[in-house]
Amino acid sequence: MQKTVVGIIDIGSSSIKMNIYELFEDHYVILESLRQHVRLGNDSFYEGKISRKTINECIAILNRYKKLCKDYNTKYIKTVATTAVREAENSDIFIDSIYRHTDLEIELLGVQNESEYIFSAIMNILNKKKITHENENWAIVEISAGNIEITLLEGNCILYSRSLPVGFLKIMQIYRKMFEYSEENFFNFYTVMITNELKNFKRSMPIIKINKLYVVGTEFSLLPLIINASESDLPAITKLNFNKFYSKIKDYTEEQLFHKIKISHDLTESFIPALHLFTIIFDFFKCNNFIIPKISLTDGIVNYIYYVQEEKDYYVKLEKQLKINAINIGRSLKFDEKHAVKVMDIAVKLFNETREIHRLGELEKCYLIVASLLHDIGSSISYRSHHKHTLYIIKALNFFSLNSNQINIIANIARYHRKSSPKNSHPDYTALSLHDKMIVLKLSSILRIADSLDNTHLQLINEINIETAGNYLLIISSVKDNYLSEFFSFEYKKQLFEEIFGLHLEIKKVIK
Amino acid sequence: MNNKNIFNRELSWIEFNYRVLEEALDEKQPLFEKIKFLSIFSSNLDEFIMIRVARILKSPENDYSIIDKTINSLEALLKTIKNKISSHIEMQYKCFNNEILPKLEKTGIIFYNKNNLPKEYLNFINDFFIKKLFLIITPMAIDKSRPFPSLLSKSLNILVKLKDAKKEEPLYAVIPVPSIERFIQLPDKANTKFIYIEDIMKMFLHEVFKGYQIVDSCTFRITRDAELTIEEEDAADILSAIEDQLKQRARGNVLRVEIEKEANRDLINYLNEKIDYLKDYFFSIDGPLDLSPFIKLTNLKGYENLKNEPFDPVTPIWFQDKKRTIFDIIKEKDRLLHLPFESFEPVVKFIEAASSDPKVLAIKMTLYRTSGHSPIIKALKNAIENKKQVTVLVELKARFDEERNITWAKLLEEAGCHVVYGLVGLKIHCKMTLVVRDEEDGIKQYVHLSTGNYNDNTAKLYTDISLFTAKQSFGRDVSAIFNLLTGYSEPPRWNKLVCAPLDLRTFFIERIEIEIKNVKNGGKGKIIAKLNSLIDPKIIETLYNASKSGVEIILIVRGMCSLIPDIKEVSENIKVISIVDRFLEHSRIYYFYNSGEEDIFLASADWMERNLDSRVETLFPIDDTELKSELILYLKYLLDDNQKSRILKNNCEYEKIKIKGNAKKAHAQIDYYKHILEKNKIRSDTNHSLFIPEMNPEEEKI
Repeated sequence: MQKTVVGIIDIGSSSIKMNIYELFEDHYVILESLRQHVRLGNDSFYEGKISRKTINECIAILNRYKKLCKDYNTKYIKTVATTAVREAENSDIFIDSIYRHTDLEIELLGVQNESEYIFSAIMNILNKKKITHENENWAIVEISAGNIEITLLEGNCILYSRSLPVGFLKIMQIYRKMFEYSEENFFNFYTVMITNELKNFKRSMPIIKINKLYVVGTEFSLLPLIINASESDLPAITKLNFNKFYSKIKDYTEEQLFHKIKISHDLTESFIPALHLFTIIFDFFKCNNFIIPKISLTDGIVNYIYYVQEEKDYYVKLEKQLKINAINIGRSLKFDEKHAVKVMDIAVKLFNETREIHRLGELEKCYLIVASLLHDIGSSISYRSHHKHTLYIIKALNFFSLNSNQINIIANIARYHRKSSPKNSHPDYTALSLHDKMIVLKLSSILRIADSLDNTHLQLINEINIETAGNYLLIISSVKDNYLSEFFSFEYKKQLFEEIFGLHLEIKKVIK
Repeated sequence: MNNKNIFNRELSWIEFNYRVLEEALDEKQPLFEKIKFLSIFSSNLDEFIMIRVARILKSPENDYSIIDKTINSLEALLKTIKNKISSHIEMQYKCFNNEILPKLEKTGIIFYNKNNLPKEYLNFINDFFIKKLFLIITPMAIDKSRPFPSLLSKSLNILVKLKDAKKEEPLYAVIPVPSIERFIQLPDKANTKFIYIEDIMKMFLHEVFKGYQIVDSCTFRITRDAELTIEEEDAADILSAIEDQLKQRARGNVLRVEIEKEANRDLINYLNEKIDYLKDYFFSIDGPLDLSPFIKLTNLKGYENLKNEPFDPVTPIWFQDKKRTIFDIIKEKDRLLHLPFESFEPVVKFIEAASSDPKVLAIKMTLYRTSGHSPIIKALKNAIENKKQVTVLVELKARFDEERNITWAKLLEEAGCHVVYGLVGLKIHCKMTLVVRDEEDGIKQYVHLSTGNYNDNTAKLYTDISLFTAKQSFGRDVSAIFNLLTGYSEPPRWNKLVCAPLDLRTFFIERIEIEIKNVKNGGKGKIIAKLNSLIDPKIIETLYNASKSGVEIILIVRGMCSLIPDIKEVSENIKVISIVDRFLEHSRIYYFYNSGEEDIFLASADWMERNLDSRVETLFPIDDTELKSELILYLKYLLDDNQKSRILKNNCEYEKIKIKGNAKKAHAQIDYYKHILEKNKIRSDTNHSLFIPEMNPEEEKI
C-alpha cells in the first residue's frame, strides 16, 4: 500500500472528533487529533431531535475539519455518527443537511459496528504487543455520553455484546425531564438505572468469569496520565488506585476538575458521572484492575477498513466468533445444543461439498452456521410455528460483525428450515434484495436437508459424504442405527434444493 | 496577600523608565547612545500616560493592586506618579540642554531656534515655508462659533494669540504642526545644522494670519487616552470593531498637556481653560517638546564614533551548512537561535524555504508585530502562490500596531491565506510557526517557537531566544495550539508545551512548589527567572512562600517588579536584578533546579496577570542537554553583570552594582556577544577538523 492520508470523523453525543491518519503498509500514524464540543446528545436525548442551531454548529465544525484536512493533502474523509444522531427523530434531515453543506456523507453506525471498531482497534494494539487472551475471558466496556457498550470475549472471539442505554448525558436528560432541572439526587437515580441495566445484562450474558477488563471512553483516556502518569499504550489501573482517586475527586466542582487535574472544560461535566458509572461496572465484573487502551473509535475504523480486511484468516475468525456467539445465545434460551451442532456440521459439510453448485462464499457460510445453530430457537416460545418464532428472535439479536440486513438474511434462512419455502408474500423475505433472497433460498435449502438428517434429534448420522454423478447428488451417510424418520424427512425437505439447483438428490446409508 | 509587601506596578514602571534615563545620564555612554536613551525615555513615557494612566483612571476606587505600602488611594497614586515624572523630566531636559546640545555643537551638529538662526539661512527658511509648509498647515481660529479644535494625540501644536485692530478682545488660533520631520536640515556642506519645525512656523505666523497682529505664541502637545475598549463579546466582527475603536482612539480623553517653558501666563491660562486634562498633568518643558524623534539623529552618517561599537549579528554555524536544507539541519537536532547576538536570517530562511519547498504542504504562523516590509509576509505570500495551505493568526489587538496589522492581514487574506483575526477576549501573544512537510518516510512537522515577535527590525534590538525542532511531541502540541486558536479543537493534554490562559500559572506555581518541597525534604531549591515584568500576585505570593522555605530565588526582571526582595521573614532569599542596556532584554527564561535536573523553559509570557489570564502564551522546555547548558551559561553571564545590572533594594529603589575590590568588569551583553562569536569560530574549526584525511606518516615528514 502506498502511503496515504485519510481523515476519520466521529460525530458523537457530546463532541465531534476527527483524527487525521497517515497510512503506511503495515501501520498508521495519527497526524492530528481534534475534538469539538457539541451538545448533540442534549438535543437528541432531551428534545428527541437535533435542533437547527446544533446542525449549523456541526456544519461549521465539519467545514473547519475539512479545511484542516487540506493541510495534509488528505485523500479521503470518512464521517460516521453514533448514538445521538442514530436516536434523533430527524437523523435523516441531519445527515442530509450535513451533506448539502459540507459534501460529507455520514455513515450511521449501529451499536454493533461501534463495538466492532473498538474491538478492532484494541486487537490491533494487542497484536502489536503480541498479547493474546487465549483461553481467557475478557471484556471491553465502552463508555460514551449516550450508551455503554459491553463486549465479552474469549480469546480473540466475541462471545456476547450488548448496549446499555445508560450514558451520562442520556440519563441526565431523562432525569431533568422528570425532576424539572433539579440535579439533586441525580447520582442515586443514576446508580439505580445502571444497576437495573446490569441486572438485565447478567440474565442474558454467558456465565463466565471475566479476567481482564478494557475500558474505552474520552473521560477515561485521561486517567492513566492523572493516576499513573503512564504513557504506555495499555496502561492498567488497579482497583485500589482507582477507588482512591475517585474518592478524592468525586466532590470536585467543574472548576476544581479543570484547575486541579486539568480536565478540559468540555469534559468537566461528564467526568465524574462517567467515573461513577464505572465504579458500578467495575464492581459488577469483580476485576482487580482495568486497562485503558490508547485507542479511539476512529482508530478502530481505520484499522478495520485498511488493515483488518486484508487478513487472510478473517473469515476463520468470524466463523469462530459467530459460532460461539450463537451457541451462547442458544444456551441462554435452553436450546437442544447437540441437535443444533449436528445440523450445523451436516450443513457445513453439504455447503463445502457443493460449492461448485451454489457458488457462495465464506461470508455466506457464516450465515449458514448461525442459522443452523439457531434454527430451532423459536421452540423456546412454542414448538408450534417455532420457525416463525425463530425468525423474530434472531432478528432481535445482536451479532458482532453483522449488520441488520445480514441478521435478517440469517433469520430468513433459519425461518425456512421447515414448512413453507420462501414466498414473495412473506414481508421479511420481501424486504431482502434479489441477491440476498437467492442466498436465503440456497442456504435454507441446505439447512432443510441438514435438519432432516437429524430429524429425531438423536444424532443417528455420524457423518456424510457427497458424491456427484451427472445430474445426481448422492449423500452417503454413515449411521449408527435405523434412521427411518430422517429418511422420510429428507425425502420431503430435499425438494427445495432440487428445485433451486435442478439436481436429483439421493441418500444412501452405510451402517457403522 | 499583604499589600505592604507589594511594590505598586506603576511606580515600579516609573523606576524602570528612570533606569532608561540613567543610561542617558551615564557619563561613559557615547553621545548618540545617550540621545537614543533620552528618546526611548520620552516614547516610553508617552505610552505610559496613554495606557497606564488611562487605566488607573478607569480602576475602581478600591482596586487593591493600586494600594501598596506608600499609596493608599487612587488620587495619591496619580499625584506620586506626577511628582516622579516631573522630576525625571527635569533631569532629562537638564541633560539634553546642558550636556547633549553643547556636546553636539562641539561635533558640529547644531540645533537652531527662531532666535539664534543665522541670517544666511533665512532665504532657505522662507522658501521652505512658502513652498512646503504653508501648503500643508491648517490654522484653526477659535471663537464663539468655532470651538477649541480636537487635536491629535502626541501632535505638536502652536497656540497663537492675535489682535484684530478693529476688535478689543484678543483672538486665539491653533495650528497643528505637520507630522513631517521634527527638525529640518539646513543647507550646509556637512548637513549637520537643523532648526525645529515649530520654530520655522513661529517665524512665519504673520504670513499665516495676515491682517492680524501676532501678540504671542507657544508650542504645546497633548496626550490622549489610547486604551481601546473593544466589546469583543458583542462584536460581530473583531476586525471592524477594532477599526471603529481606532477612530475612537483619536478622540480619547486628554490626559496630559505639555507646554514650552517660555510660554506666557495668559497662554497657559487659555489652554487651562480650554482643555479638560487630568488634574495636575500639565507639564512645563524646558526645551523642545517631545524628544522621541531625536532617535533619528543617531542615524546620521559619519558619526559612528559617537555610538557603541556595532555588534554584527553572527550567523549560527549550523546555519552556514549550505549543502543541507534547513529541514535536514533541524531534523538532525534541536537548534537554538539567540537574537540579536545571532542573526534573524535562519527564521526568515526557514519560512522562505517552507514557502518554496515542493514537499511542504502547509505553513501556520502567529503574527503579533511585524515590520512594514517584512520578509516573512513576502515569504507567506509566495507560499500561497506555490499552493501551500497558509494559516496566519494575526493579533489585531497588538497595541499601537493595530492599523498596520489590519493592513497586511487584509493583504494576506486577499492573496488566499487563511487569516484568523485573534480571539474574543484574548490576545494571541505566543510566537510560533508550524511547517508540515510530506517526506518519504511520512509527514513531518517542523516547529519554531520564540520568546519574541517575527519582526526583522526588533530582531536587531531585542534579546529573544527561539527554538527550532522537528520533535514529534512539539509538532503535535504546536499543531494542537493552532487547532485550538483557529477554533478547530478543544485543548488536548499537552506533551511538551504549556499554554496560557489554560494552565500556565498553575504550571509555574507547581514548579515553584516542587522547589519548596525539595528544600523541605532536605534538598536544594533554586529558581532563576529572567523576564520583562513580574506583577502577578499569585506568583509573587508563591515566590515569597518559597523564599520563606529556603528556596534560593534570583529574578532578572528588566521592567516592572511588584515583588520586593530582602524583606525580613518574607523574601530574604530573593534577589532581584534589572539589566537595561543597548539591547532591550526581552527573552523570558525560567530555570528550576529540580533536584539537579536543572529544567529550563522559554516562554512568550511574563509573570503578569495579563499574560497568564488574558493572552494566549506558550512555554516550552529546552530538552537538549547542549542547548540547556548554553542557556545556563547565558544566565550566568547575566547574573555576573556588574556594568548594566541594578539591584532592587527593599526600599523599592534600584542601585547599580558596585564592583568590589579587584573584581573584573562584567558586561553581560558584550561578554555574551564575544562568547557567541568565539563559539561559532571554535565550532567552525571543529567542523573543519571533521575531515582530516588519514595520511601516511612518512609523507607528512618534511
